[in-house]
Amino acid sequence: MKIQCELCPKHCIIAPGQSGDCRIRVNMDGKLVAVTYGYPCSLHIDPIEKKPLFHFLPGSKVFSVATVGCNLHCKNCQNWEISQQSPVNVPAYKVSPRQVAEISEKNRCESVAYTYTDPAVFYEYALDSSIEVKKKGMKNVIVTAGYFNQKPLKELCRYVDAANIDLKAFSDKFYRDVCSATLKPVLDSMITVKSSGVHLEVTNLLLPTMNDSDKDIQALCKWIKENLGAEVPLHFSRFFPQYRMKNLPPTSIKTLKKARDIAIDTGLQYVYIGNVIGENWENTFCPRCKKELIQRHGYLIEKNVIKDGRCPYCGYKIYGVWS
Amino acid sequence: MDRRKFLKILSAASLSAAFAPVSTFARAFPEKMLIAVKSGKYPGRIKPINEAALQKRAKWLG
Repeated sequence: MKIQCELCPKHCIIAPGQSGDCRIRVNMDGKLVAVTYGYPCSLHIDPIEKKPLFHFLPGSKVFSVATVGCNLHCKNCQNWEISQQSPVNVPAYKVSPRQVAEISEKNRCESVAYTYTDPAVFYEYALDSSIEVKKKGMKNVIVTAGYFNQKPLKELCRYVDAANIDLKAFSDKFYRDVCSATLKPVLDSMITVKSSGVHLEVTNLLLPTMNDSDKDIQALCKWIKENLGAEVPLHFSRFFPQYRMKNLPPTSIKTLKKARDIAIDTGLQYVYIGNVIGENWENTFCPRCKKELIQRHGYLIEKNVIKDGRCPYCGYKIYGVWS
Repeated sequence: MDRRKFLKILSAASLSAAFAPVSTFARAFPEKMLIAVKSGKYPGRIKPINEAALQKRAKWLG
């Protein structure tokens, strides 16, 4: 009997013995089975700034968990060795949701992140782990492309404290051509996450000639401001040639700076440039008095003067989770 | 109902059914969401956890 997976907008109809588009949700005798449940391929302790989350417990450690597979097939994927593989080809650890929480606690991580590939495809494992993590008083983070159906996303949001959603481009054509997906469900996910009270930050990886026109960047920033709020941090990330897009050059610093200027002119309050070390584009400034509040160097916090979530100079409330 | 009217209704219904987007129906009945069951067996190789390696900088981004 064929079954339909209802986790993501692809709604894969899966024949017996076959998997969905993500390669890891399999029809076994008429039952939908998540073959990577309890089998993460990557476990690491990262700085929270790496997700990137700049307004969520800065300087804290996060236990990062990922399984093989993804429901998107981005030609520029930077983690393609695990996201675009079948579980048969990638070794994994055996770690129950309870053990995820225990390892995180033992290593004094303040949160657990479901990241590197996409929690959309290891949904049940991420959900059960989130519940165990909450029981131990820690926080949960998702780093995702946001290609979820609404019902499972809303359920996951009950246990998630912060999310970084990768908005690949503000173009449905880009999503179809480069990622094997569509734009609208991602926009819907961002609205759902924000309206669920989850701390949200957005990342946009700029690919030369593909999604870096002034018009595209303006449209993206305007949509964020109007639908999510000017306070939502936006990270423009630098592209380096990867996977099936080795034909493109790295994003120029000029383009990244231009994107940042457009976002600030649109009215976004916190705009960052990632994958570029040595400039002050990773520092946080108060939107009201413009004074520097957090100074970063790569993933390191060199200075943080935010007090009780407010600017110490003018008292302006800074969007984020600070303790 | 006369035969002509019946055929008109039938053809309209057939056309609607032919072009009905399945994913829209799935979205319309979200309570039917199918949760996957966990697998007892991983199809690939299992590797032991090395807790010391957890602190090493991850190769993966995000």
